[in-house]
Formats: sequence, structure tokens, C-alpha cells
Amino acid sequence: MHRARPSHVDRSRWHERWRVVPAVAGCLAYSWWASGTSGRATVLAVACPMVLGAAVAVSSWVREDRVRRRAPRSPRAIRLGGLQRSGVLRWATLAVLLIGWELRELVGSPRIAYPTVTSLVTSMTAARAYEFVAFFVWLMVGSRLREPRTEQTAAP
Amino acid sequence: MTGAIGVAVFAAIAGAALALELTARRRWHGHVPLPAVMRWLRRHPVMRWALLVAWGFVGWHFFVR
Repeated sequence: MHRARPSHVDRSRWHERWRVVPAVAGCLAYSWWASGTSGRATVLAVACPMVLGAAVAVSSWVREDRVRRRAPRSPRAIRLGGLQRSGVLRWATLAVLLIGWELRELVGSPRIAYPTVTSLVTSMTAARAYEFVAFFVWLMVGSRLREPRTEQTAAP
Repeated sequence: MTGAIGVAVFAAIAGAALALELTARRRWHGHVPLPAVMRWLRRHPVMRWALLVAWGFVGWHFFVR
């Protein structure tokens, strides 16, 4: 049976996967190390990905903004980036509920009777395994702040 | 008792977020996945900086004790 040759899009996906796998493995290892630190080492462990993440994110924004400025503008502005309004409203409602409940709990005392997100996460991450998972999730969320390359800026 | 109610509300919000995401990934009409919303937010100069600062704050607040 004749096997179709992968297109250039499939090849770039494979290259992307080979870049992502070591990055994720590195983040896992770094998260494990960071979850075991204390004192000044923890400050460094958190500050380094913050600085690096900010640098990578900002440089990706600059690059993609440059590409968007060069691209021809559509004659009509697309509202909500083409997303369905009801979908965006659902997420906005959830965000408002979360912030509202958090504020309500923040003004209450004692903390045990009025738990906040911070108190819940702190009690969960007391164990190293949970802190490791939480740190890794935080790194992964940070990695999504980077603007992915569009077709115009992707390497051939 | 109020502590349990507080935890239950947060759990309900987390459950609702998970349900929204799952229904969006199954392409139910009127549902959008959270990454798509974040991508739209990132296009706005003020919002992208707000997201970056929020991410940094969350990391510092939860892990530096």
C-alpha cells in the first residue's frame, strides 16, 4: 500500500513535537527541584522562570505584532476574535463568580471558616508531590503566554 | 460549617470550569475553550501584560513562603 509522504505541515508538527518533549521534561525536572527548595533558593527557583518566561513572552509578542502590522487588514473588525459571544460570556461569568467569592472569603475571619484560594492551595502544597504538580502546572500556564509563531514567521 | 461551604463553592466553580472546557472541546454550540479565550485576550496590549503580571504574582504568592 502506497504511503503518502508527509506534507511540510506534518513535518513542522514533528519538529514542534521534538522541541516540546525535551522542554516539558526539563520543566518536570525543574519543578521537582524547585518543590524541594526553601528560603533563598525558592526565591531564585521562582524568579528565574518568571524572568525567562517574561522575556520569551514579550519577544514573541513583538515578533507577532510586527507580522500582524505587515499583514493586510480585513475590511471589517472581527468582534471577540471570531469567538462566540455566549461562550466568552460563560467564562467571564465564571471569572466574576470566582473573584467575587474570593473577595467575600478574604474579608471573613478566621481563615479556617473562610478559606481562600491561597489558604486552600497552601494546605494542599504542603506535601512536596502536590507542590511539584502545582509548580509544573504554573510553568505550563506561563509557557502559554508566549504567542505561537504564525505561518509567516514559522521556520520553513 | 462555613469552611465546608467555602470549599464547596470553590469546588463547584472548578467543576463548572472543567465542564465548560469539556463541552467546548466537544464543540457544543455556544461554547469556546479557555485557550481560545486566552488567545483572544493576549491580542490586547493591556490584557497581555495583565496576564503576564497575574501569572508572575500567582507564582510568587503561592511558592515563595
